[in-house]
Amino acid sequence: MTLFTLRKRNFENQYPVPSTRYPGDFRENKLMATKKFKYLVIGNSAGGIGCVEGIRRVDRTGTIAIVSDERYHTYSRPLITHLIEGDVERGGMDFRPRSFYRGHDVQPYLGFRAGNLDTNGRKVSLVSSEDGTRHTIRFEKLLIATGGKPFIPPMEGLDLDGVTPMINLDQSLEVRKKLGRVKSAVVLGAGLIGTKTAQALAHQIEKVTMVELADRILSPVTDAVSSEMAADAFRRNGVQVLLTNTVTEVRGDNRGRVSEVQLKDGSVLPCDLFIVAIGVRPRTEIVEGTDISLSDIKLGGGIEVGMNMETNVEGIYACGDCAHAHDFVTGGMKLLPLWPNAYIGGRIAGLNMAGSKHQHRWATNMNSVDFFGFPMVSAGFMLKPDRKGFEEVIRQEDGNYSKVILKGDVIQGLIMAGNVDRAGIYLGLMREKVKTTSFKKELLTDDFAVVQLPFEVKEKIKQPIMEIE
Amino acid sequence: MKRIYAKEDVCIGCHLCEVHCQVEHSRTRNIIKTFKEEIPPPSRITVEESGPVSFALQCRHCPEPYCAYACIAGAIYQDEQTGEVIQEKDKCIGCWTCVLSCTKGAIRADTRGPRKAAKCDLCPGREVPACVEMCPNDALYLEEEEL
Repeated sequence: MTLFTLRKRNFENQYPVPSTRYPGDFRENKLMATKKFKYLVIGNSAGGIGCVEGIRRVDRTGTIAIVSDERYHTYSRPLITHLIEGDVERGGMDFRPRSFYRGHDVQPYLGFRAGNLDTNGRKVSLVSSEDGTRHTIRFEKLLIATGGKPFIPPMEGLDLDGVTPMINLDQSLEVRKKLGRVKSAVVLGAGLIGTKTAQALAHQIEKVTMVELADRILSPVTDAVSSEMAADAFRRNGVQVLLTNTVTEVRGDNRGRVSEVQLKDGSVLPCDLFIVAIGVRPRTEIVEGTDISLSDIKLGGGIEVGMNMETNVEGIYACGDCAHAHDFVTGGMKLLPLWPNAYIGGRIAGLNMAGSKHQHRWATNMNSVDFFGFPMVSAGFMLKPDRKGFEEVIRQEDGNYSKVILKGDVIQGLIMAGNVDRAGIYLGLMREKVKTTSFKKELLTDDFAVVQLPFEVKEKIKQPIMEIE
Repeated sequence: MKRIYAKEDVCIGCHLCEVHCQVEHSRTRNIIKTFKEEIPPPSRITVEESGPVSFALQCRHCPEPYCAYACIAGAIYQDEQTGEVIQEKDKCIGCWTCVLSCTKGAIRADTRGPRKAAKCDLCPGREVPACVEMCPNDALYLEEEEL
C-alpha cells in the first residue's frame, strides 16, 4: 500500500509544472492589502464562477476572493480536448471575458493552493505555487468548489514521459506540444474524458486505441444501442475500440519515454502517448481534518450538502465534482461530476451565501456530446431499471435512435442519438414530472411538440423562466 | 427588454415566420437565393400545430437562462443592460448541451458548416425582428418590458 501511494505522488508531481504562459494570466493577480473577505470561493471553474455570479445578483458590494491552484484566467475545462484537436484556440478557452474579475469586483488568487481550513476560526491559508509565499485569508462565507482529481489505478510505469491524465489545461497544452512526435496513442477509459480525448487525437496522429474495461463505451451515459452507435463513429474515424480489456502495465524506452502498454488479455500495444482517463474522484483534501462531513467512500466520498448546497457547517457551502447533489430523477444525493451541475450548484450556493433562499433541483445524470458529427444526448436512467412499473418507448430509424424510460407515465430517462432537436422539451417534462398519459402515443414521433402537451404545461413552456429554483 | 409573443388565436400556421427567420440568418439574405443557392440555416422559430391550434415558439430570453448556465464553453450569456440571452457564435463548439437544457426546445443544431447551436437573436440591426415584421396576420408581436 505504501508503495502505491508513493508512486501515485510521483505521478501527480510530474504535471503541475507550468509549461506555456498565456499573456494576461497574471495581470490581475496583484494582491489587495486586505486579507479578510466576506465571501471566499475556492475553485475558479464552473462552480466558483457560478457562485460569484450568484453572489453578485444579490450583493453588489460584499468583498469576494476567488482562489485556484491553477494560474489561469477562468477557462472552460470541458474544452481542453478541443484545444488538442485544434478547433478551439487558447483564447477561445476563456470561460468568461478577461474583464470578469474586475467587472465583478473579485480579488483573484490564481496559482495559490488553499489548505489548513479552520472552520471555527473562519480562515484558510493560501500558498503560492510560484514562490511559496503564504497568506492567511479570513472569510465569513466559504464555497468549496475544488472539483475532481483523476482516478489513477496502481500500475507500473505511470511516471514515464508521455503518460498523463486529462483533466486540466496544463495537461492538454503538454499533449498538444508533443503531438508532432506522437505516432500512436492509447487512451485508457472510454468515459466522457476518454472518448473526447480519443476524438481529439483521431485525425491528428496515425493510430489511436481506446481501451475500456466495461463491455461498451460511455457506459454511464448510454444504453447498448446508443453506445454501439457512438463506438461505430469512432471506428469509422480510425479509432480502435477495445472492450472488456484494460492496461496492466506501462513500459518505457531507455530515455524514460512510454513505448508500449501491456493489456489484460496478454497483447501489447506500442504507443508514445498514454492517456489515463478512468474517471475522477472528489478532490476533498481541504476538508480532511475539519468537521465538514464527507459521504461514505462507497457513495463516492464527496462533500455532503443539503439542497441549498450548504455543508453541515453553517456558512460553508460546496458544489461541483467535489460535492454531492440532489438527483431529481432518483431523489437521492449523489456525485454528478458534470459542468452544468457545477455551475448551477455554485450559482445557487452564491445566491444563498448572499442571503437569498434557493434550492438546487436541477441536477441529474445528463450529458450531451458530439462525436465526429454524431450528436448524442441523454438524461436520467439510461437502462430500464429491473423493477415493476417501468416501461420504455423506443424509436430507431435512418441511423437515429431515441428512447424514453417511463415510470407510471412520467419520463425518467432519455436518450437521443443522431437527432437531438428539441431534446430539452423531454428534459423539462422529466423535471416537472409531467404525466405523459394523454400524449404517450406521440412521444418520440415527428408530431411530438409543445402543442401536444396538456394546457397548463404548454402555457408554462411558452413563458420565459423567471425564477431559478 | 424586447420579447416576442405569439397570439395563438390569430396564428394561421402559415410558417412564414420560419421562412423569414431563415432568410434573415442566411448568407445572402435573399429569399430566392437562400433556398435555391444556399443550404438554408435552421429556423430559430418553430410553428407548432395540432388541428386548429397553432402558434410560433422561439427563445424566450428567460431571466433565468438555463442554456447559459449549462453552456460548457461560456458561449451564452445574458446582457446586463438589455436582458437578452446572447450566444457568441465564435465560442460555440456544438456540444448541444444548450439544446438539452432548453426546456422549450428553442435551440436548434446548425450542422451546415462548423457545428453551432442556433437560437433567436432578436435580429440585431433590425428595429423589429423579421418574424414579427413578416407575419401576415399579426400573430407575433414585440413587447418592450421593464427588466
